[in-house]
Amino acid sequence: MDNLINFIVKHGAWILFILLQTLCIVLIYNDNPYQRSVLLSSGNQMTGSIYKTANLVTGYFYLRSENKEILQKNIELEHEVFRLREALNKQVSSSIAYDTTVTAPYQTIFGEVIDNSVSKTHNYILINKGSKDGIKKEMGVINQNGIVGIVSMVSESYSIAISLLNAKLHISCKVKGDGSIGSLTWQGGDPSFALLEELPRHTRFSPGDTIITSGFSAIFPEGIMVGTIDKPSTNKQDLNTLIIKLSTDFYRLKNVCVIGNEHINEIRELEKEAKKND
Amino acid sequence: MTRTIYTITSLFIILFLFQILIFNHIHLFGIGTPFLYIYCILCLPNTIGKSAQVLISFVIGFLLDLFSNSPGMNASATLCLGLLNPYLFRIFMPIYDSESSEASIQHFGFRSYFYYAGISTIVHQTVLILIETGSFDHPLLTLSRIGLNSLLTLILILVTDSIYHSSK
Repeated sequence: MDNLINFIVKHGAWILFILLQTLCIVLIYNDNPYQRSVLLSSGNQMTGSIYKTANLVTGYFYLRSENKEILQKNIELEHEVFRLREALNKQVSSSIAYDTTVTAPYQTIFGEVIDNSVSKTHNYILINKGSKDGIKKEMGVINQNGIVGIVSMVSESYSIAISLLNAKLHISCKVKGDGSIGSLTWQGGDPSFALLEELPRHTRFSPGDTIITSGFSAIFPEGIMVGTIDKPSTNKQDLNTLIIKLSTDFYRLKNVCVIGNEHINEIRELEKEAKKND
Repeated sequence: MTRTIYTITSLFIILFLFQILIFNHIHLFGIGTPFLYIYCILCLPNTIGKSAQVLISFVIGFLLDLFSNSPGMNASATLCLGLLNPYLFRIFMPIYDSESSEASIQHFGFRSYFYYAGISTIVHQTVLILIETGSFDHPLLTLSRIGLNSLLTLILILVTDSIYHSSK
């Protein structure tokens, strides 16, 4: 206590100075508009720069959620594009209705892949559209890059498609330009490569040639992109087999388009009758 | 002691009136205003103690503020001067005449008094004008104001001191 009193007595002038100076600053601040604005604006500048620095750091914390939002938005927009393209196609096809209805009796339904696998030998794809949207069995599934699979089971609002990456599936394809017909299968392994079998023995192909659907199965229309020739198969047993690089990226399957041939029942019945007659 | 209080009080009243009635309205070259009233603070006897000097300085500045409508500014500047004054006094006071408690040309000699008054004035003006300006946006103008004000004030202080002490 004595020390404190001594301190105050010894430095009384300084303490008094600080107290009175504080009073002066209060007076200056309260009664002089200009000085107040100077004090306030310099204070604002300081807090502003502090907040700016803090924001530089904290801004990164919200990147994850922001990213998610942007992704969501992106999907919505992509969907919108598909929808508009569909509408446009409809418009175009209705304007030349007399020609197209006969040659291209295909209907399209846009959906989203909600479950997909690539690692098994029998892969399936779950699509968020079902019978109420007009999806039936044996419709083809494609996306913007190429073919994806064929619908095998349909419920009211969902459907399951056999992925192209399924050993059970055989799709009739042809080499563009040359026109040689083959059967496309996948036998496990790398999801970006498939085999094109049963090609004519006499033909020779060069790597890079395009493979498209043949249109023979009546599931896919003719001319849908499948992939490109990578190289002939190294396996000695199947001489006329090519390894195909698929154009569809099965790892990133999201928006798909289901195509249905409206005349498929008619075709099937005809085929059945032909077999009966044999 | 009583006599000293009387003389300083009367000196203060006279200088104060001069300041608010005349000097506050002088703007030499548009910027120069003398602040002669700080002569009172320079005249304060060293014997009254530091705290008393600080307090008196504040009161003088505050009274001037009331009349020149600049609350706090002059008080803040004179407060700085009041704090600094005893130290300056000790630096410049003559060694052979350590009994004298009042600063004047007669006691200090012209040279010492000139420095004493000069430093006091410059400190006071610097604080005052920096508070008034509030920024360093126009350093040349601010510096020239400080310089001119200090010069005018210093000349007037020297003149006043000569008159005041020769008349006694």
